[in-house]
Amino acid sequence: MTNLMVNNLYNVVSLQSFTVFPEYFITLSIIYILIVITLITYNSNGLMLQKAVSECMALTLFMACYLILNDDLTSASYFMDILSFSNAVIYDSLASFTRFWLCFFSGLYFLFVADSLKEQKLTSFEYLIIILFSVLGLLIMCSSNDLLLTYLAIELSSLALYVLASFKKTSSYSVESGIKYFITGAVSSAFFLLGSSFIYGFTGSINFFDFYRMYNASIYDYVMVQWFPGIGYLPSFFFESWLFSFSFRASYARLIEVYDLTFDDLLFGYTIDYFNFVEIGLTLILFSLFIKLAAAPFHLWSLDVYEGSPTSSTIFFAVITKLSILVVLIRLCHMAFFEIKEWWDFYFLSIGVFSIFVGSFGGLKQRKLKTLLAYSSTSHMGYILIAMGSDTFTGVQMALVYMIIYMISSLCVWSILLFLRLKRKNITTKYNKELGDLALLRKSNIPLSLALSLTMFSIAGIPPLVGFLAKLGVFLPLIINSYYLPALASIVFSVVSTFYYIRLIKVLYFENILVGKLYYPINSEKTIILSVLIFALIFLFCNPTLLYLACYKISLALFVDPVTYSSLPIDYPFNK
Amino acid sequence: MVKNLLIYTLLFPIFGIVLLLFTPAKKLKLMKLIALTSASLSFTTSLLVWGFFQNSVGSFQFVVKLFWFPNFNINFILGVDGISLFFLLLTTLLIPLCLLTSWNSVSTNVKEFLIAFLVLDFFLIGTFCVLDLLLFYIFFESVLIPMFLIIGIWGSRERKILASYYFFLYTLLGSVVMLLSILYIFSQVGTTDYETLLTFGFSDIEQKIMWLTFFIAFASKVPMLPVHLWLPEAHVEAPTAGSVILAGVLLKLGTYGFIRFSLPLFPKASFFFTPLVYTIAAVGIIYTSFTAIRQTDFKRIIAYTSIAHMNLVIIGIFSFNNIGLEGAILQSLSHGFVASALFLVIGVVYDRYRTRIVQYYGGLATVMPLYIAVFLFFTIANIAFPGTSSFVGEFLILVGSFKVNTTITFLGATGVIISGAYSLWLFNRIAFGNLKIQYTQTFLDLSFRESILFLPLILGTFIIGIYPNIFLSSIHMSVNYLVELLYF
Repeated sequence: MTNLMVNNLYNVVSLQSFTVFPEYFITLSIIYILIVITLITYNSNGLMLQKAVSECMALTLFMACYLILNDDLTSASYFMDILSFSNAVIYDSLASFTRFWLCFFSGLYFLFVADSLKEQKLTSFEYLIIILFSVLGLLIMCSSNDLLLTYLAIELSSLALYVLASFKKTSSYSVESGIKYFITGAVSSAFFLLGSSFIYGFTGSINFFDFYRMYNASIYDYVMVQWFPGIGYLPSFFFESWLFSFSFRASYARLIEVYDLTFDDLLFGYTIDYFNFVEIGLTLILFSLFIKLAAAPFHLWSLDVYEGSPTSSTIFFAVITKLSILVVLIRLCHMAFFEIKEWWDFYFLSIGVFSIFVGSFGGLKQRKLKTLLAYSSTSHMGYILIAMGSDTFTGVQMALVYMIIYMISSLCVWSILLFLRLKRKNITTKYNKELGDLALLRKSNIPLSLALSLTMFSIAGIPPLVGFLAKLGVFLPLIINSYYLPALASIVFSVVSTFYYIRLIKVLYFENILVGKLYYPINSEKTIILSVLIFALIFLFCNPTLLYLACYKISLALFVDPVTYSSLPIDYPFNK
Repeated sequence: MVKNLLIYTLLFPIFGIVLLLFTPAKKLKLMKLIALTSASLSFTTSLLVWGFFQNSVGSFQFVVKLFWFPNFNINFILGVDGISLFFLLLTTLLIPLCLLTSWNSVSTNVKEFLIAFLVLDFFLIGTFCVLDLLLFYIFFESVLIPMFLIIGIWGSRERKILASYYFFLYTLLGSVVMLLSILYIFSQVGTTDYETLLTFGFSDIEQKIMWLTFFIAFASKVPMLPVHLWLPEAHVEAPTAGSVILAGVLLKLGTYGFIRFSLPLFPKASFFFTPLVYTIAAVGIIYTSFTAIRQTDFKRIIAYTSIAHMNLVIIGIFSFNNIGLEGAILQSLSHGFVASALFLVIGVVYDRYRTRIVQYYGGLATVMPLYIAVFLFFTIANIAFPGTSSFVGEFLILVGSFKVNTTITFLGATGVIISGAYSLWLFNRIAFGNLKIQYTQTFLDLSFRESILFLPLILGTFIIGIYPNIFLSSIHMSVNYLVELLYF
């Protein structure tokens, strides 16, 4: 919106480069690390270097965090949207917020993952580099404003994920899960491309911002296109930036030619009726993204993939990747196609409630730990979807809050599963597969079991922990917008799902079993990470304003036009 | 200083928890002393609250406002009035008693046990003092975690897992629907501050639906009939201290919720649904009283008794007049003394003989006279004998409901009569008859610690029974204010 100001403050070149500066930095780091390590490990395997490489990567990501935080634009104002690379990249508060948390959580992930790789016999250092490629893809996804760039970013991260799933070559389960992941991922991509081509065919554009403009055509736009058909908009000394890009002009002119729109149509917004195929395309894209999120009818891959992949990869699928998909959903639905909310909110609500249903009832009979957590994550995605489907402003705010809290708490749970090292060497199963395996954790590692049970209570949404606030926030937009039935259904399902969360606590504390598995204590480094996460769970409950206010500001920046920045006659985009 | 008394009451348990966390788990005595001291300090400050309480004021006193979630207008506001004062006192009194009664009987995971009780103390004090609907809900639900762990970890038998699940899921399922109503209230009013909500009038249909959701939550806590099944299970499987706090305080969360929230927020709906409540309560009283007669487990009998008495309290609340409401509060307090004392009585013999089946006991009057004297006193109090606290409470409730509905008074009074039957039957089996030497050979009367345990409860029961005005004078103005709101 503020291209005018931005043009006065910055020149175009620096604008283009600094919006993706963290991504440049990470790419360069990947290349650097690859070269250095290839030289070092010319004659040996990378086993010795895994720890060093992972710490290096964590450092890279924390540096990227710093780069994201430390820019003048976001500190100047939350309300700035900067588009660069022919409108393909958007740089706003949502992007900087989500990219920050993505880098932060990935950094944490790198800090604790190295030791476990050795135990899982994933001996090559490429594993870590592939993860970093995936993080790069996720980062680009957060700031992409274009169907094509979104697709490329999704593919960049997904291809890395397929490799991660099948990385343990000795395990047939791992290979199987990799193939399963790949096939579903390919289907998802096909859906995405089909949807994109529908949209492109009927609008002539692939840019989110153009979509927004199409549904929000004003008299000013009409006059401009009608009076200056050849040149498009009046070229003026300040109108030379992204706003009047070629693609936009083309698509708009196309609208008027193809559909023979009249002045009244644009005046009263009748253009919406012509867009049925765009809606179908949008639906296809939504389904593709729901497959990536593992929301309910599309969740079946996640059960096998989570169970079969090495645990260190599963953490990455289950925790880190979801945030970027959420951002794409927000950009696509709440910004670009906001005007057809009555079309897409049905999908969000129905799939959300169905996810909660499946996640709650599917986990009841589940004895395998990782599959149980897969069901749990499906139900969490359901909560996020119902929040986003019910309301725009509050919905996005609460979905972001829920996502951050989900990431903290599930990182906690998964990392505890990763940290458990069995004391007995000569038994066949090295890892915890079943719920009952944790029975002796209380005896062998008291703080770890306490952390696990606290996190479980938090995920179940029992009050004095932050998971309750997250759930509360999700139900608030539903109630505000009178979606009582979905709210009632999902809150009752949430009680069903607490059954299996507290079953884990039962296994940990209530049973007096003498035969079971004993675990080594965890080292100090992991203890610190874990205690920081647990502390966050309690602290965010005691001071919820911190997170809610941040997400509130982001929501505000997305949907509210501050008077100070709307000096132009036309209603500026992204400021509903 | 005086203004912040409630904060001190809340902070002492937290202080104890922090100290306990840094105490080595091997120093059992030190840990127990720390826990007992912090709980007792909390009790002392709550006594000070009573001391500085002004009886002539109907509104909230000692109000403290802390910012918690200011951008949603949800703040941590503490305050007591005549209604919540005695619930607060009851809580802080019973927690040290619970710690004392499990002084020797809990031997595994002592540190965790003490922490769980102090956490429970904190949450219960919060529930009774907080003046914000959402925070009330948060504290109300939070109680689940420590109580779930207390039943599950320190319970006695294998059935404890079932019992803890019953407790957890019944209460949770009951109260989540209330959460939706709270969110609706929040979306309508823009805040959940209690005193602001009192000024807001909801339409009839809103009141009815929201009242029903609140009713489910509180009724499963009281518990009322169809959702009472968790209570006998939880009582039987919990350790003695758990049963004491369950009967003494946790059941009062339901009645407190009715008095504090259901009645003043939804007055029209409360009147509308009175026949429903009366029916459920009357059926509950008679059914559970008869069920109590045919139980063989010592704790189960007292558990069913509790249900009957708490349902009588509900009748008192829904009489909507001063006498009935004051009687309901007083009877809640009295039940807190009497039922928890009876569970302590059970705990004494259970610590010695590890069984709660009535048939294994008999003739204890000859070998444990002091014990039987205490038992007799509380049995009599349970029957609501004149001179004990229950008499005052039940009498006021029956008088209050007689003004409104004579049939329900008749049905409620039936429960009082049947309670005589099962209490005396139980006392007879335990105290008289032949000594069952084939089961137990050694007999030990009450120790010093156990005698100390019963003293405050006996004292409280007597004082309320003989001179209830000490308590009623504090309750009176707040109940007046509430009744005015109801008929506004």
